[in-house]
Amino acid sequence: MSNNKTIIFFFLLFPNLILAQVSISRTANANVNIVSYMSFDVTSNGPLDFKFNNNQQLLDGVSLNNKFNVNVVSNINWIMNVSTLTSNFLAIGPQSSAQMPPEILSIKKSTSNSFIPLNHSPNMICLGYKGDQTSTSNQFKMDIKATPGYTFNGGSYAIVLIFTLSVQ
Amino acid sequence: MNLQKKTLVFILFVFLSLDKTQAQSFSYDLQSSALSFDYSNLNNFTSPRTIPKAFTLNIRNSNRGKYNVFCKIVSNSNENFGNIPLNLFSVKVNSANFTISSSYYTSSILGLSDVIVGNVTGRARKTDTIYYDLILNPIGFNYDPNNYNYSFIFTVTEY
Repeated sequence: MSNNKTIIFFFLLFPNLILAQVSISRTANANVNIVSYMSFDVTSNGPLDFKFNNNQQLLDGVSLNNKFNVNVVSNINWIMNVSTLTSNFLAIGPQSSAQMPPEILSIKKSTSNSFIPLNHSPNMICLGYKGDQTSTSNQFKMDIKATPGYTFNGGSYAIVLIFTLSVQ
Repeated sequence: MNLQKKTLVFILFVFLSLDKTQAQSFSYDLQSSALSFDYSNLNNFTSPRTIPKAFTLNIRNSNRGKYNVFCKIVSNSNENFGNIPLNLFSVKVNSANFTISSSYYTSSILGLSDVIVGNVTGRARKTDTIYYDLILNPIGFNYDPNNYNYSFIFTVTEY
């Protein structure tokens, strides 16, 4: 009888001696807030000067190809608009016409076929997708063209271009 | 008291003594610093950020003194799975109150499955404290702006 009791006690105590393998999980909660982010830069390859040396150039226009380099970094899909600061060119000199409109300028992505006339109001030039400047759509060049025709006096003119990036 | 009874009492005494000296139960608790992070400027998106001692594990060893520490993340966001940044977090040991293998001082990227972030031996009946740094990895610009919620799950397993 005593031997039986010994065995019973042994098995009762056995779990304490071997100690069960333990696995414990604990949790910590985290919050990550990703905000909308957009940035871009536009650089010009050299001075942005148009010179018209003959009638044909005035009529057909002068193009400056690959004149702008554009890099976009954004975590949202974007569109790029271009406008002018003023509703007319600044006429420089006594002979220059005071009312030369920005529409004589047009711009396009270098890979595009059609120029888009500029205006005091923003015009969409191109669009792209989220990503940094290594994405295909987020690094590109732009061409600009001036076609004044015969309407305006010879002289010097200046205007400021505004590039704007916004959400699609 | 006959001899058999004495034997039984002796065995019982020995077992109870062993129970007192060896049966310290294994337990641990996890503490964390504030885990709320913004991605709002260019550096946040492109450079890693380290939150020193973001997690503190206090471990009370049993007589085994051997355990592994695992960590994984769970997403609590109601987003399509493919749109949730999952390689966002890494952890590494910052310091401990004992010597821990140097391999755990280099960061491990966390995922949805357990990653071992610590292996400890020879710590029977000792109390351990391990500090972990949290590294926020650059996420780039391919994830939608949103509020994402995660849980870090630390599992400590004796062996």
